[in-house]
Amino acid sequence: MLKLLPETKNLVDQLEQLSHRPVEFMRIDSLPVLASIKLARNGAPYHILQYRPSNSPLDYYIAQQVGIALRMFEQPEGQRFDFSSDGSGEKALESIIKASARISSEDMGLLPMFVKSVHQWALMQLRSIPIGMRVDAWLFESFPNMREAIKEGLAEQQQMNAAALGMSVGKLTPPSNQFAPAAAYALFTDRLLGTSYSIPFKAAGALEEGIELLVIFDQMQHSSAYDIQLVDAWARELGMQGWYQWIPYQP
Amino acid sequence: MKPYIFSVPLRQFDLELLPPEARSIGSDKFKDAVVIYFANQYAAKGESAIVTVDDTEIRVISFQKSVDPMGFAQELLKDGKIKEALPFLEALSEAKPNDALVLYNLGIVYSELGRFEDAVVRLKKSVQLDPDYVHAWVGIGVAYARLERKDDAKAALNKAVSIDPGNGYAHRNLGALLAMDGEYQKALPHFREAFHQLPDDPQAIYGLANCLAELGELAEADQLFIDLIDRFPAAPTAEMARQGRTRIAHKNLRGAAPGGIRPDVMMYILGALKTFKEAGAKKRQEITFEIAIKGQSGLDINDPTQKYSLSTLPGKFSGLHLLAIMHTGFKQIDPSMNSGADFDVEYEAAKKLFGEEK
Repeated sequence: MLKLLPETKNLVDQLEQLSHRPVEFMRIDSLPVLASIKLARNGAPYHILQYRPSNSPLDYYIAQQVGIALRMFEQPEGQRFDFSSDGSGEKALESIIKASARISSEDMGLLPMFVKSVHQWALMQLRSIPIGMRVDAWLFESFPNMREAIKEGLAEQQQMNAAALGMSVGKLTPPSNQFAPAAAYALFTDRLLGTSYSIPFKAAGALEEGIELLVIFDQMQHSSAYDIQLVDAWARELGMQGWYQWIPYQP
Repeated sequence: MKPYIFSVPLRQFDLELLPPEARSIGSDKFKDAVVIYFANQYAAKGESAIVTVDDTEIRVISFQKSVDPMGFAQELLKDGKIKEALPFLEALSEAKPNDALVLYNLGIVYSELGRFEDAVVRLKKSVQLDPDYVHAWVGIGVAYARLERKDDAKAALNKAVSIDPGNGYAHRNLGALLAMDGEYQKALPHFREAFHQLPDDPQAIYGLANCLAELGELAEADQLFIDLIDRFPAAPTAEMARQGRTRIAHKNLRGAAPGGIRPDVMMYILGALKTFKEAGAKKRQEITFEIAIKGQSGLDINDPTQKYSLSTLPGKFSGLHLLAIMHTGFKQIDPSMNSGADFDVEYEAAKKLFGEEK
């Protein structure tokens, strides 16, 4: 059984009340992230919060996932949307990669698979980082008891994001602007905790665009009602309009 | 704060951050400028950095000045986080290619991850730098043993023993290698020394017990197996110790039987042959497998009490009786199956008798 801080349990309770669905915890040893929530959709009886067992406290990871879900359920019914993609950004991404460097015939064979995985990764970042940053700021401000767990969790998160800088298949690498969301997140974390996580992104030439994204983040209203606009504004900055749609959430 | 590790592909590094004369990727000036760049960036934040640049990427470990990155890697190893420690140790070994401690730890990590050749290279470099590094010699011995290069393994472990005659791990591993070759007499003093040095190490206890059992010192061996099972019930060696006790019980049974044949076992087998003939192949299989399943939790073959019953065969049975029935079943269903019982002599005798009775 998971041992959670009372603050984390309260957040889970809030989500259950707002969404009228219970949260079921599911341990998955092979989960690539420490926690992930699958919202109940199309009549499913409960939300599923998957978690990977860890020696570190899972409170931050669970609170962040629940916090992101809470922000959607704070909206009135009819104003709740799911982020969805039909893969339409793949062609655009492929063109950008082809234009950025000469690709050997060997790497050309790897290109379709590489494009697919970068496309998926880029959308995941676009969807989760800006709203995740809103949740992080709120958790840090509202729950002093959770700050150590937040610091530890952010350190692990930043370590994972920095590891993506080394992402490559053959000689193919993602377009540098796709590191901007992670750069913005590193800058945000440095500002919150006084750390130095943004240094690798500066070295990789991704900091300037990260700063632009952070400016958008700061200037946009912080209320959850503006979450969709925030994601859309980041997408415009990154040239990712049309890569995804917002579709009505079906409880 | 934990050390932070990342790598940047060379062609991804923003050359504008370097002086114009250092922007030729891969040149010595480029490499030096990159190292200085990161060192300055982290120094400005009150942190230190270890930076290495190879032909494809730049690798950086940053850490607060109060943190020792090697100590951090060793903490990870102590917690069993082998994979997490690997990138730190690889980066450290690039930055400190002549540090015997770093090379030793990296070698051990490679060995744990099954990369034995890589392990041997690092561990040998470690002992080149520090010829008396006994743990590294033990590591070489273990890696060679896993590569099945027994002679090289023995040589490395003998070297370890010569450097430090009181090193329990060296003795334990050397004993195990000798035992694998059936050289139990030679292995015994090593196991005794290992046990003396590491009295709380389940593998040292098991090694000694097993060696004693093979040499016929059954009472001392059994006591060590009992001790191991009592003190470390969840250790993998505890299960091996249970099997060891069973082997000892069989040896005791055999030793107690005049002429080498246990008449009670032979009679049990004879009974089983009759039962199986009457019951048919399907029933024989059901009975045999029910006993096999029951046997997974252990049959007490030293207790003559008829305390077991089966759903497939009426009556009460002793553990020895059930084992004899199972052995018979296995022999008839598939002779390659192993009941774990050394009843072949009794089985052959019973079969002969059964043929004469028919």
